[in-house]
Amino acid sequence: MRINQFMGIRSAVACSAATLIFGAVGCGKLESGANSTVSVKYLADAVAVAVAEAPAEGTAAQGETPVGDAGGVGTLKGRVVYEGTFAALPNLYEKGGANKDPSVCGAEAIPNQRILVKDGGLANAFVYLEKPPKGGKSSDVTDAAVFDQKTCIFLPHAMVVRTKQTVKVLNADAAAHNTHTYPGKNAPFNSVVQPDDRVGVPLVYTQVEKKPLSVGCDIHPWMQAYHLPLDHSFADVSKADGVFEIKDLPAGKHEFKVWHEAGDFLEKSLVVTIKPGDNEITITVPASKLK
Amino acid sequence: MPANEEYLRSPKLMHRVFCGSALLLLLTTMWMMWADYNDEWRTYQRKAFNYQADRLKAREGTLTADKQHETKVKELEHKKADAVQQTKEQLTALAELHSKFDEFDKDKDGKISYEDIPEEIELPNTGKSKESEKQEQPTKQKFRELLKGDFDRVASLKLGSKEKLELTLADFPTESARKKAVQVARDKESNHLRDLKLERARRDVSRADYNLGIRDNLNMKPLEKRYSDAESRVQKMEVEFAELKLQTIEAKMSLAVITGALDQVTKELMAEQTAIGLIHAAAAKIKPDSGLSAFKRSMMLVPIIEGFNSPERPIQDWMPGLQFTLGGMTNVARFDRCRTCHLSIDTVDDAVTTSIAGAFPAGKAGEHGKFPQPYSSHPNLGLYLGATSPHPLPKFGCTVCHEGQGSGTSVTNASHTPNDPVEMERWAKDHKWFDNHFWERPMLPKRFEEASCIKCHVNVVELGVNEKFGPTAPKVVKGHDLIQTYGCFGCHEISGYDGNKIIGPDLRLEPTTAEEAAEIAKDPLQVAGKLRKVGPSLRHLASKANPGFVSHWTEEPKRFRPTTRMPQFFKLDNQADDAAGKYNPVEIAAMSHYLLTKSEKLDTLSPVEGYKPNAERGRDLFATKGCVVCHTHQDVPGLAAEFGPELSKVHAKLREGKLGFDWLYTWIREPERHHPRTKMPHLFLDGEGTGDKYVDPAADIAAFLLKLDGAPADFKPTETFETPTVSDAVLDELVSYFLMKVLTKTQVEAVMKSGNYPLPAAVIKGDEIELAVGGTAEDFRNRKMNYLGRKTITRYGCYGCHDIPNFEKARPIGTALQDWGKKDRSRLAFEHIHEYLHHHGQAGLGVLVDSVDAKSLARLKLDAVRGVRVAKAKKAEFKTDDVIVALDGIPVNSMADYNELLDRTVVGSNVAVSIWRDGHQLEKPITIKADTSMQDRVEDGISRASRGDITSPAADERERSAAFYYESLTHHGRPGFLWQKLRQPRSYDYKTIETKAYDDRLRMPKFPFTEEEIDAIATFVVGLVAEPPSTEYLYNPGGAKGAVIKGERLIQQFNCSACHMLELPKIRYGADLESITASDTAVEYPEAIALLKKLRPVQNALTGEMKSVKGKSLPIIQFHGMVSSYPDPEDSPDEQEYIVDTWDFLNIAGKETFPTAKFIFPVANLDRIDPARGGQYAEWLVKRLVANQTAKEAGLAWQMSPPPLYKQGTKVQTPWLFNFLRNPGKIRHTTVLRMPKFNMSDADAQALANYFAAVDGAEFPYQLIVEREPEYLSEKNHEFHTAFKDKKDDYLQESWKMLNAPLCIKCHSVAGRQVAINDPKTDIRGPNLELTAERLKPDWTLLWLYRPNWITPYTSMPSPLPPQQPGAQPRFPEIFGGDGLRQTISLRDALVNYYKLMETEGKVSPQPQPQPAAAGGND
Repeated sequence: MRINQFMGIRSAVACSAATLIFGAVGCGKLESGANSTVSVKYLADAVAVAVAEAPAEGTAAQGETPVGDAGGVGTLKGRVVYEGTFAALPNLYEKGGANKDPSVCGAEAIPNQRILVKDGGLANAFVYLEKPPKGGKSSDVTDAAVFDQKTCIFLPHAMVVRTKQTVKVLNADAAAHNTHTYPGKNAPFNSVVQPDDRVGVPLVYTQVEKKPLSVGCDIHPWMQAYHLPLDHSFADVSKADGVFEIKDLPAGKHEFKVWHEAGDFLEKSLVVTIKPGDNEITITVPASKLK
Repeated sequence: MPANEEYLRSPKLMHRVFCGSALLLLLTTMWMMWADYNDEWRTYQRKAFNYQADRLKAREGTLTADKQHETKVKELEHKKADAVQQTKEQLTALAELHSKFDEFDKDKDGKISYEDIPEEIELPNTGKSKESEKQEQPTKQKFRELLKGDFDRVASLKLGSKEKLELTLADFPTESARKKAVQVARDKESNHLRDLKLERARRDVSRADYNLGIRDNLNMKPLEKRYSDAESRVQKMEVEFAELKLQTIEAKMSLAVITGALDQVTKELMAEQTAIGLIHAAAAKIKPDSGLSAFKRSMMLVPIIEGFNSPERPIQDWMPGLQFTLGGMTNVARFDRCRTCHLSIDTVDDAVTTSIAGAFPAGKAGEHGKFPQPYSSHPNLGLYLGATSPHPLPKFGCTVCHEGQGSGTSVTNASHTPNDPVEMERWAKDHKWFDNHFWERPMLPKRFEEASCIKCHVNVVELGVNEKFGPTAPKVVKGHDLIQTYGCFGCHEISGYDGNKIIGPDLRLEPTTAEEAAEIAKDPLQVAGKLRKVGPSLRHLASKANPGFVSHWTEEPKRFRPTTRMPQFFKLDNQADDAAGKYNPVEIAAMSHYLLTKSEKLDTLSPVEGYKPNAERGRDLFATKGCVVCHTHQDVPGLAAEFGPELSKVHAKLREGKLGFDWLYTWIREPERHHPRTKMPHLFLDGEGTGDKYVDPAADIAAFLLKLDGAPADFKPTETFETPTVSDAVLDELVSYFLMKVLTKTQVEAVMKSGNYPLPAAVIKGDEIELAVGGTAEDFRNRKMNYLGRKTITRYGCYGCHDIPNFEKARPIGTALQDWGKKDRSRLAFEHIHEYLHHHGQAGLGVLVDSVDAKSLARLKLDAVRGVRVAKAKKAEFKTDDVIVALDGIPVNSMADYNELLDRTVVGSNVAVSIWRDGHQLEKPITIKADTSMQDRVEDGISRASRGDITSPAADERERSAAFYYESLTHHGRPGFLWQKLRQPRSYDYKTIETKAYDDRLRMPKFPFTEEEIDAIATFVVGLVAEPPSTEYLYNPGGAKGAVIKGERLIQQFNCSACHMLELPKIRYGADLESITASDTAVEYPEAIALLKKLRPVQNALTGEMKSVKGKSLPIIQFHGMVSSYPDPEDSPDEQEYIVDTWDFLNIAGKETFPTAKFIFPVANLDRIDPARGGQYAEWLVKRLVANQTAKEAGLAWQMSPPPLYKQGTKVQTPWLFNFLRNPGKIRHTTVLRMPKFNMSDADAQALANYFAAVDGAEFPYQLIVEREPEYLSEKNHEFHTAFKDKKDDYLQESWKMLNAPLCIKCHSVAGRQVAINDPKTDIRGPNLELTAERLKPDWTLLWLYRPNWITPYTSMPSPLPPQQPGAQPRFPEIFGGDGLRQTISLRDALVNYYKLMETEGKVSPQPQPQPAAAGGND
């Protein structure tokens, strides 16, 4: 079943009205079947409200991710869509413009990665469950994650990591960087990564964070990345074209969080009902949400 | 007359009379004895004894019932039984050996060897425990084992192995022989020692004779012989003595073989039972166990007999060092008998071992576990009276602090003083208490209990800020601080010195001129004052304000600025008559005339030509450049700073146009231009940027304050103040009036006519000089104005607070206060104060009001509950059921509002009362004089307080306090006088101004003090008695303690703690210890951890207290740290949590956590967060910088803000800090504001620099820099060349390479090379490393290099060279072989030896930029 945009807006209005009047929690629930697509739309000035196919009945118990009775696992495939005309942000520094370690950082232009849109898709949005769902089986991680720095840019710009997973902080530049995290619950990490270090300095998060944390380099203050340490695999970062995928979700209702560096929490509680098989979702972000 | 049978009186009658009188005499004698015996104190002592006995018995019960004790005693008793048995066996074995020795001695040579003695033998029953008695058969005993002790003993004596010994029977003496041997050996030893001592003395004599012989040139032969003989005798005897000593030891060892074990266990058992035994004995002493003891005790209490060591007796403490003046005639030592009734005052609760607690905590009678006076223990025995406290009872006694008659043993005789009239009435009823006028030093009432502290604690500050004891006397400190803040000492000198002897707290103005300062410095009998004048300088007033404003302000300062500290001199009680009404405006105008004509020119600064200041930017700069630290402004809310004046209206008062702007610009930019001794610091607000981006912060801030939109010349004050018109007639009247005091009537008339003063200027000393100088007829009016202005300033003493031209040498006009606390009460002028307070003296409307409730709304036709209803109208202006809805336009919504507004109203001033009457608000408010009877208020207050009608403790205390002072005032007491003087200084002129000269009227101004503040000031002033106890009691320490005291005072003076956190917040929470993980020491250099332990000693985080969380009892841990995340209200209650960063190195039940460790705990676990000491501005600024996105992260915002000065003493070198405080240079480039330059004297800067070292226990003022010493360097060199044989450079040269490697330069300028800057706003730029050598301590620097965030968790500085994991890419392998530890230490050494290296190695050109392809190398 496919809901058209018009219906979506109408029910969104209805829902936000209901929210206003009853302060109900029932809004923002999504019910989607197998191979169905649901679109989520933000009202410019209202609270972020997800649009549901039909008003949801009953509310999920607080603090616990509700899980449906139906067995099986589903995959959430979605796309974060930027709504509005997007003009690419100007580079932070043009080629040769960076004055610190100019031979390295000036080799390429330093792009502004705060908002990246490709074919209408918004990159670097985190879509995740805060806690692993009951009955959900998280995929194992054994390999170390790689976090690299090249021409004074962090690679990747945004990543989900697992607690206790080793993140190898590498440096492909011929200049030293100091990788500096600003975590909420984890111990801060601030270490020099020497030039051309392909062995890397290990970085390990021990605590789950509520939202992505900022990573910077004090030597090159424009450098910016985001890490989200979680203790499960139900999370993804939207790719360059806005696409993301979360696998192995047990069927039932789930509350997702959507976070982007330019808009903080785009959604604190996006309820999606997962059915076995593929589930599709489109999350639309109006330009006004991103600053 | 001859004797005959006839008697004058009948003998029978006479016998009866005699018998009767004898009986009467007997009864009278007995009654006398009884009356003498039946002292008041006995009742108290008996009851106290009972309490003590009860407590001891309860304690004995608890100890005996203690399971641990019980098992221990049982165990020891078992052991003892065993030991007894063992001894018996030993003795039996010994006897057996003796009897069968021959059997064992096969060679019969009287010797046996170890093997000859059988291993086992049958021994007769030794009467074992009951159990073994049943065994009828003798048992085989390990015979040789039993004799082992003797074998061992002999073996050790003969230094052989016991198996090879050959022993005689004498080696196994009997028990009695052993005992005897000990006795004999001891006797021999002591006898010999006696002889030896004698012989030693003889030897000494002969040596002395020998020495004298040399002096006297005698024949030395015989003397020499005598000496050498004596010496050899002594030598011989010493040897013998050593032998005897050994024999005693041997004899003791021999006895110990038999009785040692038993002795030991007996001792242990006794020790275990001693505590209980002692407690039992102590209890039995009071309440005897046996009838006989009880009888004995009761006999000891019988009159007469009780004179001999009775348990009940007066207890007295004698303090010969603490004398006081008796009747102003002689000094006597204090004899305090207070403990006679306050028997348990110093009894420590021995059940509490963690702290010092009183055994009888104070409380109301009947409260469980609490004891009323006089049975309670003194609060805080760790601070007072306790043996380990700084005020031990035997040394201090009671009356030195509390006053009163120490020798008195009844409530009244001891001169107790009730705290308020309610208590007084109770005492009078219960104890027949009365005020004993004949004792000059009545006890201080509870409200003044802190007053005596300042007798010895002359520096006062340690009573408010005290690391060990906390704020111990906050009220007297508050009084002291108020006096300092309001500058009372400007008029009332409080000299702490009599000559150069300390007599009390010193609050005096500093010398005004350099000459005066030099003169005092020369005189060894004078000590200069230290305090600055509290008001702004008026020396350049004309460049700042117009005459109209000056008059407006002077007349009533709070009219312009309600929060001002400037007191009010005019429009007060004694100025309501016609004379004052006529004269005061002229006097005010004349003062302003004088100040403005005498004003000296100020060289003002201006912003660069054409600069257009930006008020909006100015508002932000007002916040970020630190102005809000001291000043509030309504447009920059958030911090309620009271250090400097409130600035919201400053735009109304300055001069128009560029003049006013430039003055403010100059003041902001270089305040010392206007006033060299101002507290306002130099903020380094220099222009920044170039071209279009040029910003002049001072100009912007000025524009903000002036609400200026345009060029400086466009400034127009928002208010105008008319220059008051002066009636010439009144001016002449006043001038003549004052001149009449120095000239004759004819002269005065002549002067007024001609304008010529009769005397030449050179001989005039007074204010008349103003009339004499200049002297043209045209400016006579000007001169008259100046004369009157100067005269008025002299009369009111304005120069006590302000720097005013021509008043540099003027002396304070008020009474000196250093001994006011003992001022003769007959010298206080109470005048008609009693009559005054009967009808006046209380701000009130003369109505009785109550609150409006919902019920009465309809009746009163009110729309909502507001206002207060008039219940009884005593004044014609009001009617019953009027509702007062506003006072002076400020809405009244509740009784609390009404009371508060009236409390703030000056007595006697007019109040506009808005009234709701008959369903509508009256068009015009009623204006009424807020002045009602003080007596009524007090009577009402007392009756409400004694009925318990006042629910709020603060209000209750306020009424009791008012009643106390009123009572004191009506009895001509000092506190009452002072209280009313501060409330209504001019009320003592009530009905006196009619009969006294105009210029004799009281001049003390009215300060805006609340009653609580007056109470605090009174506490301080009452304590000013200038009677220092002997010097050993004076607390004026030197060394580190003294440095801390001096520093605390300066920190207060310069408001350091507004910006800087001096102590971080202390967090306490109930921790689940298992969830805490110890920090991983494996990933750090062991050297780094050792150094961390040295600089930040490990703190035990466990408090020993517990917190119950959800039914679980968790240990409370505490530490210093910062809360990085508060609970998010959006989270569910279960998930709400705190995240805290520690700054301490902690040990939590064996787990060590490094600073920076994060603690995350649920809301429910929080016990308490004690806020930081200081740093409110820094915290505020951090939030602001994050909110307006100047900083991306809180950590970065902290780097932009004033840093916490946590453990600063371990960080910086004191000499550097001294220089920095005198002239703060720029260190950090990340901060949005700079450390300002305070107008600090060298002495102040030294004291502050010392303070920071002293509080952290660091050495000061000098520190040896070991790392610069040749020994250190040569050792390093040696070690370096041993490790790296092929290196040609020396250690420091290699270190220099390390420092110049492409690492530090990334953020720091080093060795003359400037750090590359991309964007000054966002770039993180560290301090220039050139500063390090002089600034930082080497140990601190090294720790910083190991792990910067151990010291400052939020720093951007990474650990440059931390330990690497195996397989990691080596760093700078050609320097120190890539060894990170060596490299780190070398960095520190290069920094410490920076200047030396710059000299020798500075020419080294930076290493070439790295080639991108240089894989594996370093750049």
